[in-house]
Amino acid sequence: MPLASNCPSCHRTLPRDSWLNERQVHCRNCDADIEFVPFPALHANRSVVRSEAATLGEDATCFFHATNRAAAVCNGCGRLLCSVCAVDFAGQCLCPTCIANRPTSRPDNVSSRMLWDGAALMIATLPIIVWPFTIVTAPTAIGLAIYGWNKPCSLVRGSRVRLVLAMILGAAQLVGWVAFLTTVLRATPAVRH
Amino acid sequence: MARPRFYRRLTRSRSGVGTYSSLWLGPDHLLLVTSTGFSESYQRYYFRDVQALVVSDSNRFVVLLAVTGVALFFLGISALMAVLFGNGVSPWIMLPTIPTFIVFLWNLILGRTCKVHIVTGVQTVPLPPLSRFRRTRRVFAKIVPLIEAAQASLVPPPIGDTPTGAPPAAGANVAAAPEISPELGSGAAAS
Repeated sequence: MPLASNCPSCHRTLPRDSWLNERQVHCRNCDADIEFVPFPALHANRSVVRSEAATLGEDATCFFHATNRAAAVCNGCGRLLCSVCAVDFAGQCLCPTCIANRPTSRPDNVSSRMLWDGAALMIATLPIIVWPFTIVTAPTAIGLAIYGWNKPCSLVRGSRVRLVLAMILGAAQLVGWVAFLTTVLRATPAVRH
Repeated sequence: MARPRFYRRLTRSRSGVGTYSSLWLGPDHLLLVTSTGFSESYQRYYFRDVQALVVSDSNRFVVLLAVTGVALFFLGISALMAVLFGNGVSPWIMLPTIPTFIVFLWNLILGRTCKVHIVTGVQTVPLPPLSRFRRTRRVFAKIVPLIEAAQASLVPPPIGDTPTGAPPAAGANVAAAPEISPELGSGAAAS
């Protein structure tokens, strides 16, 4: 059985006679050799989830659907759920509300993160090319590094090296500015009244 | 004290247009990280949901080889002309030659390029970090056994083990667990 009807390279339809065997196909449109590595989930029977209607008065019903019979309990909030509302999520049976409000402290619940360390380092390094801007960007970089110190960092890079680097670069630029301004002021003749 | 690492790196970052992405291995899923430098977004593909991995040829290797090869050829001709008819090789001609040669050599060392897609029940998604056959083979050697182990319950038991008259297990029409073809990426120019 072909695993896909379209070529992943050119997205055109793969005719049945393009398949060399169950795992290899040659697309005539883009002349690409494609290899499939199938897994058991591909052929596994998918069960269609249907909720049962609550028929008797004493049947426990779903928290979200008063007419559906409860079939599971949410591992997050303990509410009774029907088969439609019970979602198998990351190994747990959760209701849609718990999935939406899941804590982002767990690494497997995070969908995106702001990188304060990356932003601080970029602001500290990029304006060096046009150095007059560093009088503004250096304190900004230091401020961002301080602000982002206790914020959650990247999920895969857990260190604060970039924050420290941004602080050092920003401080160095500020020291440079102080030295520059001091030199300029000393070189300027004093105005005597 | 070092924090326990939740994810292990599978590939280095590969840059795209304004973004770079990398692939990481979690306890029960693959993590595709797409970063802009200011923010990161995470996509998870749980082992139990992966239906197939699709590897297709890409012509990026040939294009890059041709472009850098032609550039090196013309730079070499220019250097030769300068030696024969001029006052020797100008140092300025070495300025583009060295990076071009490095790119040419780097492309040859990394080997043929490919595109990899991951197929789940609802989507087929490209995995940009897997862009070379050699790296793909290395990553597949790590993740395919994990995916097979996660989906072990979907593989039917041998016929002799099934009690007579018992209903077939879920996914009884499943074929034997797949193996990575040894031909994957065979004939590579540099692999």
